[in-house]
Parts: sequence; C-alpha cells; structure tokens
Amino acid sequence: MFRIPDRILWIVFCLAIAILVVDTILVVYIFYRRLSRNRYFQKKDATRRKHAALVRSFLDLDTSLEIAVSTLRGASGQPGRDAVQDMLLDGITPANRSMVTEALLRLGFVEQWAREAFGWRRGRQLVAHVVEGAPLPATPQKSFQRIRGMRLFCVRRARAVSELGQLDGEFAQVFMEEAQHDPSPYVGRANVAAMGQNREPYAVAVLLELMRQAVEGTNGLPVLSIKTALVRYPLTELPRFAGFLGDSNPRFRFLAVDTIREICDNCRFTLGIQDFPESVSRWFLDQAKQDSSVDVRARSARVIRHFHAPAAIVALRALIQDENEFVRLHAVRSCADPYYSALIPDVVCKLADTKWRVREAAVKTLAAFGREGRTQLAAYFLDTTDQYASEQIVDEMQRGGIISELLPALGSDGPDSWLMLQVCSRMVSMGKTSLLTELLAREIRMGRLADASPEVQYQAQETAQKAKVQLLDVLAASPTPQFMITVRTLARRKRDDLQSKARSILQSGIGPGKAAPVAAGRA
Amino acid sequence: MHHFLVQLVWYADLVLIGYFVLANLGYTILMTLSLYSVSLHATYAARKPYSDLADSPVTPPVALIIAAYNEQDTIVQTVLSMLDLNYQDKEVIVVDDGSTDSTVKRLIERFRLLRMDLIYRERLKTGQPLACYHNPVFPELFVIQVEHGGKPHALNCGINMARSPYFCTVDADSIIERDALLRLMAPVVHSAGNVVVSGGIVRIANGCTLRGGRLEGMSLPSGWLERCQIVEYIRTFLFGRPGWSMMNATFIASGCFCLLHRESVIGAGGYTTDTVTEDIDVIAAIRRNMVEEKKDFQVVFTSDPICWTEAPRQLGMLARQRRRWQLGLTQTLWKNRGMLFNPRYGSTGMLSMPFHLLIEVVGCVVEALGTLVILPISFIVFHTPWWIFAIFLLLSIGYGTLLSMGSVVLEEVTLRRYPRLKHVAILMMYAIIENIGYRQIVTFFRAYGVLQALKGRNKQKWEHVEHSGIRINNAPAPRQAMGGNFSDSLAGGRK
Repeated sequence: MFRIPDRILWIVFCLAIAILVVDTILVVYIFYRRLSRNRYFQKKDATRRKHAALVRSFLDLDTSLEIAVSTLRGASGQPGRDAVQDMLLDGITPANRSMVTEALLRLGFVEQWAREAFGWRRGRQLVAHVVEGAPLPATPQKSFQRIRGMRLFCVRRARAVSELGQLDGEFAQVFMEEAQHDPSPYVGRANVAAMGQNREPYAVAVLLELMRQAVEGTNGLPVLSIKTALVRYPLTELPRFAGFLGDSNPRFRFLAVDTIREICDNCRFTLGIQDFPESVSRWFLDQAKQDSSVDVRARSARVIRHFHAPAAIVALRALIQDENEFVRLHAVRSCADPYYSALIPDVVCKLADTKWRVREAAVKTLAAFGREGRTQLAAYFLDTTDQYASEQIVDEMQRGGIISELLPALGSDGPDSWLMLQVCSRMVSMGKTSLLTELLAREIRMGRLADASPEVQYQAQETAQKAKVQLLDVLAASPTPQFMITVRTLARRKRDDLQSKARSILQSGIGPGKAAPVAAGRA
Repeated sequence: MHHFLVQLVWYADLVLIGYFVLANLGYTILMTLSLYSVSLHATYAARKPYSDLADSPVTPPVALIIAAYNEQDTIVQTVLSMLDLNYQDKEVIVVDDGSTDSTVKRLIERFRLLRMDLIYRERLKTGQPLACYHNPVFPELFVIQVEHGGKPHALNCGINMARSPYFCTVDADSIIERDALLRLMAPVVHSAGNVVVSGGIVRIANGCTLRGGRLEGMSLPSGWLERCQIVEYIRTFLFGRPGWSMMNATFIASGCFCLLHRESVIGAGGYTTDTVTEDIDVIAAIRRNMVEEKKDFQVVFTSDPICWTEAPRQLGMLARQRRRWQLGLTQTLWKNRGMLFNPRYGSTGMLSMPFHLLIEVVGCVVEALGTLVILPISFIVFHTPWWIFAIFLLLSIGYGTLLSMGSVVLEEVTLRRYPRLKHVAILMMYAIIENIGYRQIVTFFRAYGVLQALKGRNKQKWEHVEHSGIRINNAPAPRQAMGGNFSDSLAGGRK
C-alpha cells in the first residue's frame, strides 16, 4: 500500500469543499437572478402600461414636451427609466426627433449616456456645449488607450454611443465627432452604425473618410459596416460623394461607386439623370467607363442604368463591349430595363459570350424585357448552334418559369404557338425534357381562375388540353423513361383527346430506347 | 514483483492526477474566456444590433445547404424553417443523398416542385446529379437528388449548385431561429478581417413543440439521457467554443449550423471522406490552405445564433454518435498532424490542436482506463482507504458540476431560452446528475472511438436520429402562405 501525503489530501479536501460552496452560490444566484429579472420586467411592463398612451401621444406630437417630461419623471427606478428610454427611442422618427431629443435631455438620459461614453467630466462638457453653447475644450489625450480599446471596457461605451447617435442632428454631431477619438473599434463601429441611422448630411464626408482609412487599414473599422451606414443615405446626399470619386485608391473608388449604386437601387421610384448632381453624372458618363479599375467600371454600369438618358445608352453600349468579363456582366445586367430596349441587339450578341456568367446575365436581361425580349431569346435559341448558350437559355427559361408561362401558347392559334412548338422541340432534341414531361403530368388546376366565368374556365381548360396534346407529340420524338411513365398514366385516365393521344403513342410501340439522357446539363 | 506493481500503480495514479489537473486547468481558462466573451456579446447585442443588417443590400447572399438522407419526417419542417428565416438574399438547397424513403416526394408535394434540367457546374468533383427540382413560385428553393455517396458528397453537390458567396450547412433535422442566420453573418459584415467560417450554437430541441417550421413551445424532454445532453450542449457551446474563438483558435464548428465562405472551401478541396466528421475536417483544411496561400482569415464563433436539433433518445444511438465524433476528431488530428505544435498555424497549431489531442482524445482514454483499471486496482488490490477515493471523487464531481452549473448560469444570464423557473431548476439538477454516471458512460464511448481510429476504421455513414423527441403541431403557422400554383399556367397563363 502507498501513502498520499496528508497535506495534499487536506488541500484536495479543501478544494472540494470550496468548489461545492461555489456550486451552491451558483444555484442561489440562478434563483435570485430569475426572480429579480421577473420583478424587473413586471415593473418595466407596469411603467410601459402606465405611460404608453402618453408617450404615443407625445411621439405623435399631440402632447406638449412639458407635460410629457413632468409625467415621465415619475417613472423611477431602473426598470421605470429603462421602460421610458425604450419607448422614446423605439418611437423616434425624423418628425419627432427634435422633441424626443429634448425630452431625453430633460429626463437626464443624454447626460447619463454622455458620461458612460466619454467619462464623467468630458460628458458634462459635451452636454454643456450642446445645451448652453459653452466653449468645448479640445479632446483630452487619455492614458491607457490600449486598455480602453479592449472589449471588456468598451461595451458600455459602445452602447452609449449608439443611443447618443439617435439624437437630433446638432446634438448627435457633437457626440459622434467625439466618439471618433475613441480607441476601441467596437465604439467606432457603433458610432458608424449610429451615423447611418441618423443620416445627418455632415456625416457623409466623415463616413467616406473613415472608409478610405478602413481600406488603407489605418483605423481598424470594418469596411462593410461603414458601407452599410452609407447606403442608408438618400439620393439627395450624392453631391457629397463627388469629391471622393476621383480618389487615387482604386479600392476606395470602387466602394464609393458601389455605395452610390446601392443608394440608387434603394430608391423606390424610377430615377432620371436630372435626379443626379451634374458633377456625379458627368463623372460616370465621362470618366467611369475609362477607369483603370475593372471593379469601378463594372459597378459604374449599374449606376449609369439609373440615368435613363440617351447618353446612358451610349455609355452602357461601350461597357457591354468591355474587354473584362465582369464589366460586360454588370453592363448586360444593367440593361434589364424597358428604357434600354435599344440595347437588345447588343445583349443578344452577348448570349454567345465566351464567359458563362455573361451569357447567364444576357438571358436574364432579355427575359426581363417582357414579350419582345422573350421572343428574341426564343429566336436566338432556335438559331444558335452554340451548345453552351443554348443550355444557358434553357436553364434560365426553366428557373424563371418562362417555359411554364409560355406553354399554354402551344394550345392557342396565335403566332406564339409555332414559336413555342419549335422551342419545345429544340429542348427535346437537347435532352431537356424533365420539365416538359413534368408539366404534361400535372393536373390542370383552376386556382387562379376560380372566380372567372364558366366560359373562361372552359376555354382555359381547352387551351391547356390542346397544349398537352401538342406537347405529347413533341416529347414522343425522343421518349424518356419518365415520359413513358407519364404516357401510361395519361392513357389510363378518362376518355378525352389527351387519353387518345397517349394510347396511340403506346400503340405505336415507341420506347425509351431512343431516349436522350435525363441528367442535368453541362456548364 | 509486488513492489514493482505498487510503483506502476503509483505512477499511473500520478498520470491520472496530472491529467485531471491539466484538463481542469484548460477548462477553467476556457470557461473564464468564454464567460467574458459571451456576457460582453450579450450586453452589446441586447439592443437590436442586427437591425441594420436585415434590410441592408450590403449583407452578402447565403446558400443554406441541407444534406438529407431518409429525413421524410422532418424535411418539410426544416425547409419551412429555412424559407422563413429573416434574411433577405438566400438560397435553400436541399441535397437528397439517394434517400430510400419519401424525403423528395414530400418536398415535391409540399412545395409543388417541378423536375428541371438545370445547369450544374462541377467546381468540386461530384458527378452529375440525378435530378433537380425547383418551383419559380419559391425562387429560393432548389432540391437536387444525387446518388448515395455520403454526407460530404452531398454537401459538395450543394456547394456546386450554390451561387452565393457564402453557404451555411444545416442538418435536415434542425430548426434555425428566425434571426440566427443574420446573427451568424454579422461577424462577416462587422469584422475588419476576412471571416471565412462563422459557427453558431446548437441546442437540443427534444421536448419542444414545432409549428410551421418554428419552435413555439420551449420545454424540456422527460428522459434523463436527453436532459443530460442538454446540459452538456450548453456547456460545450457556451463554455468552450467562445473561448477558442477569442484566441482565433476555433478548431471545431458544428456542421449542423455553420457558415462558410464558398471559395475558401472550394480552395481547400471541399468536404472529403478522409474522416467521418467532415465538418471538423473542413475547418482544418481551410486553415491549412489559407496559411499556405498566405491569406488573412478569421474563423469565428458567435454565441447567439441558435440552431435546434434533435438529440438521441436511446443509449445505443448516443454511443454511435459519440463514438463517431471522437473517431472523426482523432482522424482529423492525425490527418493534420503537420499543424500540431506548428507556430505557422498560430494559436490553432500551438493551443487548440494540442488541447484537443491531449485533453479530448488522449484524455478520454486516460479517464476510461483510470476509471476501469487503475482506480479499482488502487482501491481494491492495494487497499487504499475509501475516504481518499471519496475526496478525489468529490473534487472531480464538484468541479464537473461547477462547469455545468456555470454554463447554466451563462444561459440564464444571456440567452434565457427556457421561460419557466421549473426548467431552470431541472437543468441545475441535471448539471449535478450529469457528472455521476452520464459523463463516465460518454467517456467510454469516446474512448472506443479513439480505439477505432487507432485500428484505422474509416467508414462514412449517415448518422440517424430517431425523430420522436419534438412535438409537431400541424396547424399552419399564421405567417405562411403557399403562394400561387405553378400548374395554373397550363390553365390559361398567369395574370
């Protein structure tokens, strides 16, 4: 038998007891925490209920500031104050921002956040500056910058900066500028996000400058966060971008152009060249298409499309012919707008581009042109001998639902009937029969026409039936196992034209021996 | 001879004590870092930090890849959950790995999918799929059927089919919280570095109620095994991985819910069948490839995006699962042994991989041997007094309980997913119970996995969990609408 020294045993025993004590403390803490949180939320909910009507009325500018402030002062304790803060901040809009800011100031929230974000003394100086116009001393150089930059010490500051960023413009500006001196990237990120939410005009230049620094890797801020903030700005702020478009850093130029693109894409109305400041539109029309950076040229096309002007057609045509595939890709995508129908022939040419991405973009763009584009697409599909272009077109026609939309034309007497027949035949010859067979097998549902008159419903049924009969003929030219199963199913249904056609196919003895491969297409 | 045996057992005991001290020291450091990281993240995230990402065009598109094999019971719920995610630009790609049940049929029926011959670009070598299904009414959803080839093969097919720069792997029996994908993507947008992998938390859904692809009733399962696993998952995900992430040394990100940069994965050769845990292997491959190509990158773990999955209810199933995980970890470490203690790979090579080797792989063998052989010999053959045994046992269980209890505290302080006090009380009770019996059983399963790795076993098989732990409410969820009917076009065209 061997012995373990008593001293070690004693230490182990003490350790075990200490750990059990900590375990017990944790158990008690969990219960305490759960109960205290319950109490906290009960009080918070009670405050919400009590003041909800008043706050709503204040946010709608129906209640005066004095009444709101004097009533909300009654919300005491942490839960009460948190409830008031949440209600005011959640309901902030451009219309009531100024009033809410004033209320937050009078209720002491602004000073509290300023203290948390910038320290007790500096916070008071800043508040005094924005409220009373007191002179603001220069930002003091704080010691322990590295420690202050650590995540452990900056989460509170970051949250406070976020709240301050929601205040009215002139208030927020002072705090936002001050926050830029903070050594922590977390605070910097919160500041950037707040600027994006606040959308104060002065911050555009600040954010662009921060973006330039981020691209150069000097401020540790994430580029995408800055971009996310910038794209929230409205189109009216574009003049502030003009000075940055000629920057020598191509990556920064690209990001600036792409931000403008996102801002334009976000607009809910159709833009015209008159909506852009001349300095910006001139840069895009004259400089961008010759820019040395591929990315800048590519993204410029997506901005130019919003100009809807003859000069834009010329610029896009030039970009469609660019030597770089990504520029061509974006230029082709940019043409997906009825205004640029003059560019349809140029886009059709790109259906045979050597790069699949450009081909894919061309197909999608043509499909977006409506009937004219689809007819061009179908015509090209029938004429071309380029296997890759054909496969790309079929892929997009299937994915986008074009085939299913056009298929009823097979049963009509209109001009599209012949075209659709040829398209289906071509698809069958390429072995792309899965969708056609699937559509053949599907029962006709009248969901969309449920409210239509019986005649309209009958006509639709008839057209669909005729289309299916035609489709049977087309598919029988190259039967696949999937097709034969469908034909057998159709042959068993109640007597009609489709059933007769299916039976005649079965009787003719054709089988999947001649079947084209069912597998998916190639690149 | 007797003297020699005494010496041998004495040294074995020292090894055991050394392992105990080393392992618990490691866990304590991880626990401290995680506590710091998770609580700070929770404080920062408390006030809508993701609202600017939800509708931002800057947020990159993501393809959710669901590799499925015989998942007819859960697949529709999973896909509904994916389509319902609060993420504006996403693709949902279901890859059916030659299921023998009605997995594909159920998807076709529910989403009225149409078979199409779509272009499939083989960036990773997989062979062509057998069939592709899509419905333009659900433009985000694609289903592809491939020949049975295992999960890595199915995931590679999904990568080939995806068009987005990022993809997120999701298990076919998992449910993701509505904002989880946005939260998973947040580090990609908010980080100044190049984030190539972002992992989230996996939690156990047994006992919860599912409706329309969303968890609507949080509860605990009735079985002890599932409850122990719940505590274990909370501990692993809240008290381990955030710590590694802080050191940029994340070595394991659960494939059940993980966001990856598509080109980085393709560059690393995609998912391979070299190991039985393709999710661990791919992270190591990405790390190796990025270091070799001298590219800046980050692998991060975020503690609030949550994915809910079903855990094994039977011991046999648990044994298979844990054995496979351990086998895969051991294989991955062996395959990437060049990275071990290699400063070129930074904290991963110098800290994370050695920790996983010594504590997770070798450690479980030491623990199993100690429990099965050394301790019985010490106390039965050499008559060591029982109270010494009791003191050490008390310390061991007490410390294990401390870790588990700490993670329950962290869950309570940050995520708070269990609304009732009763649930928290049960979790605390299981934080103790888990250390008496369950942990030892799992250690044996894991040790068996290591032995299998030593024997050179490498058979990729789909792991199957019997789906009966989640209650499904079949009433339609209020926000779901089926959209139009594609076949309407045959009946007169669209309006």
